[in-house]
Amino acid sequence: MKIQHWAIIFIFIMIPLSIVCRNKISKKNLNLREETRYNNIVDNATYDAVNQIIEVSEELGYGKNVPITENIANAAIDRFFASLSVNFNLPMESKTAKEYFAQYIPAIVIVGYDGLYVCSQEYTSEGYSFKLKPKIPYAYTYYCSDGTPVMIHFTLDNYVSVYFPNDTFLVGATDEEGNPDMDGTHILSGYVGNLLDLDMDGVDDYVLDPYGISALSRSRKTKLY
Amino acid sequence: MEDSLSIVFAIIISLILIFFVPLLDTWEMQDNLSYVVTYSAVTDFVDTVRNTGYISPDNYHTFLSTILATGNTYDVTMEHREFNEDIATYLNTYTNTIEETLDRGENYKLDKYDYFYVTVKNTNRTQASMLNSFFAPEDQSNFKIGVSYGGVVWSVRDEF
Repeated sequence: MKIQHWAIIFIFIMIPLSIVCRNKISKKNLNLREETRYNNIVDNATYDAVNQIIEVSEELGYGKNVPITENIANAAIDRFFASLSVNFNLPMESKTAKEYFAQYIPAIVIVGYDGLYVCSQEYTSEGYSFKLKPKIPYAYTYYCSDGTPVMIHFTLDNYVSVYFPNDTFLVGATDEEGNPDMDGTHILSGYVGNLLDLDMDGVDDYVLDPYGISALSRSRKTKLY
Repeated sequence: MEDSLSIVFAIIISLILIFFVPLLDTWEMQDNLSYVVTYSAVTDFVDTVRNTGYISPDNYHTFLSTILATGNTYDVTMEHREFNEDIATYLNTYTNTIEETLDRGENYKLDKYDYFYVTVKNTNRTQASMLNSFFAPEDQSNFKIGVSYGGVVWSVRDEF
């Protein structure tokens, strides 16, 4: 066979392969475009929602520390969906937008200083709805060796609160008149590493330490009972 | 006879492979580049508006000349959604009204918490799509470059 026969055979083999390859690359390219666009839109909406929290806190005069209440969280979520609907060129009544996008968004989490809000699909008597759930604190219940529960409430930084149950007596916990507080829940809070003077004798006895809470309770046991 | 047929065939195939395929490749690459340029121009423009609270004629023309530099013609749609407290809904202002203000040489002002949205798509047929339709006919109304972007206006400058 002549050389051009070989050339034609070669091309007949190569062209289908290259066409398939080209199609795949162009699909991939379009995919990448859409992905970039969607990422950008979601980033943008998240930015708008966070900005909403900051703006509201400035209006209320909180400054940098924003106590995220349910109202503020709801406003942020509404802003998130409104921003999404603008980017998809949809009408923006917040309820419609929410219902439309909720199918694609499994959950929104707002992480606060001492707890988090989860907004997700919930089944109610009226059907499914995208609702904000009550705040979930960063809490952990620890049981002392004698079975007394002690609840520790963490925050994002090293501030912790330790809750003792009603009926345990804690030296140093007093009510407003200075009498030993026997019934209210005792709360011990401060930054980790804070020195605590539980028996109020002017000498710091303990170090508040969430990892050493057993040591704290053990010393409480020996000292208090 | 058989020989000359194969030569004609070989010439046709080599023409396609030597001229059309590289051309198509280059033009498609150009379309991709045009998309990237348009995308970044649109996001830049919208972000500028969202961060300053107004559209200046200068800004708008810079934006237009950036996207027109890709060699395509575009259909630019702007949309301004403003919350009207009296009727508690959003009222939309579209490209025509905004462009009228800009043509008078004035800034088009937006308020805080308004929404601003821009869509851009090409109206011409790009070189790549023309060459492509030579091989495989496609829908004429399809646009190759389409970008849309928008968001909330967060800060409004008072210094006009």
